[in-house]
Amino acid sequence: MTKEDIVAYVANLARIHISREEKEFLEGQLTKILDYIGKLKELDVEGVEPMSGFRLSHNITRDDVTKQSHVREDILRNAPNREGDYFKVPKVIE
Amino acid sequence: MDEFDIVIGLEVHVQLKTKSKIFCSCSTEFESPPNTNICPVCCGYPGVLPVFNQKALELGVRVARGLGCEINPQIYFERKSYFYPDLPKNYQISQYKMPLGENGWLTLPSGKRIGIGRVHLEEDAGKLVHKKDYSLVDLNRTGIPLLEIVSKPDINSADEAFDYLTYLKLALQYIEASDCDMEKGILRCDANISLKKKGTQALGVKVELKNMNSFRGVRDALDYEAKRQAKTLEKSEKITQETRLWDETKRKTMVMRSKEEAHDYRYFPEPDLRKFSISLECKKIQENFLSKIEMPLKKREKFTKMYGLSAKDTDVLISDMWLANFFEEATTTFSDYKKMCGWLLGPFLEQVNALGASSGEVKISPANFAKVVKYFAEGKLNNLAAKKVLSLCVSTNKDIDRVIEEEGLVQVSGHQELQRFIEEALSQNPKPVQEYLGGKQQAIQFLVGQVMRKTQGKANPKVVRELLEESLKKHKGESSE
Repeated sequence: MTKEDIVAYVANLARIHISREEKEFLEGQLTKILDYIGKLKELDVEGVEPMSGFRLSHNITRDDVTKQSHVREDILRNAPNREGDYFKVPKVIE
Repeated sequence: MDEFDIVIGLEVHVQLKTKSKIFCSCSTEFESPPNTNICPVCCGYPGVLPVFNQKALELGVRVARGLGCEINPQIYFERKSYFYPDLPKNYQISQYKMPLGENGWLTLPSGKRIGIGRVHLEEDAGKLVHKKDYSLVDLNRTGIPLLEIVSKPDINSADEAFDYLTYLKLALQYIEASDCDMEKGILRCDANISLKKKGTQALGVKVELKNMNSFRGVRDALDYEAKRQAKTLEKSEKITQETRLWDETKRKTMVMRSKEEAHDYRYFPEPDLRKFSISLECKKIQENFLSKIEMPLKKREKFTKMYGLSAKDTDVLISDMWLANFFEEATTTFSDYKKMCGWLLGPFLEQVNALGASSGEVKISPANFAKVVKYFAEGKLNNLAAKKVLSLCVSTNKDIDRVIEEEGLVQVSGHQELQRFIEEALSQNPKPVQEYLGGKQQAIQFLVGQVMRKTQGKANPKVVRELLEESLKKHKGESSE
């Protein structure tokens, strides 16, 4: 995939619309980022297991106890749009 | 159709029976009004951190072990990215590379083992209500612990899929891991189905089926789809790999409007959660729990072989673990198993349903229930009286003997006592007597009713009828003399 394609692809996955100018701008940024991260590729990691989080000597879990957040109304108020107690969003049918 | 083998794999999602959500302390209550059980964690606010629910882990291990899976000693969660308003974080915390359990199986009544490929933990998404021009979002369900159970493609017919679902559901209910109510969406099922030419190895192109709302729906959708694919292949056309939705009213599957691009979930390890170890001790606790439970299939075998019950009755009994256990406890005090089963599935359930009660609200003890059935079998109570006792005791568990005495329900079975009522009835109702003697057999029914009334329902109608017939015979003899 070319850089141009990647920008369009990611934008589509994220369900955002970008203009041609924005696309060119983002391509430039993305190139810089990818080049920078690309340095990691120079490392020799042959035989090294990918790391997927730490493990402690014990698990960190919580007991199965309910607690009310008391911020329900705040959360609903933060939403751009609501109908009664529902969040209202543009029509989505997949 | 006959030239193809059907290959089916099922993907089942069940909500685990926890009080709180998998990564936050919000309630999992089903009945709450929209957006009641929400907090910054399950709503995906920036800066919040998920904390794993111990009980979800334990129930997950219980199910995985119950299905014979190997448990991975270390597990971790991954982010599955997708953008849809049912999940405000824009990713679902799920498992990918290192699921909780792998390589288990479920045995069907036919004896066939269906392989379980994997069992993994994840969080549920919210509920959407689609309106004409917009959609409404309820995030109560977001973050409820979900277990995904993926079968291997070992299922070869729609009926087998139905059996698999039935016994998977029962197993999960028996081990108290999930309520599995499909109507409430606590259990959901998607299916993959493909056909292959008989005797060949290569799998055909598979189609994913969604939107089935009942086990019957799953079976019907698979039946329809198998036929559709066979027809397509017989015309030498190709099957398209696609997702199809089952339309319950039209009774067919339809292509889901395909997305322009295939899903790219960009899985990567969830950095907000550490790895978890599943200790031997944790496994042992769950295995201990499991060892004390008699699983549905085992019960089924016992009920048909040991108690001699019909397959139909057995299936009803084992469909509710509570009912099955109640029956078994009752059999320890009275051993006419078939009669007991008949009374349990008949009058007893009728009473329970009439009360609109769930099995949990039934108070009568199995021993007391057995006593009622025993009294009926011995002739101490007639059918009507036994039902009355049941109705008085189902939700109270009063002393049976006392209720019988208080209500004066002991059956009038002394023939002498009955004979008196019979003579009365005969002399008071000359017309039906004449009709009966004149050959109209049904007329006796009226007389039986009269005698029953005189005994206030306390006689055995069968005995009454026999005595009446005898008396009438005598009358006939007398009148012809």
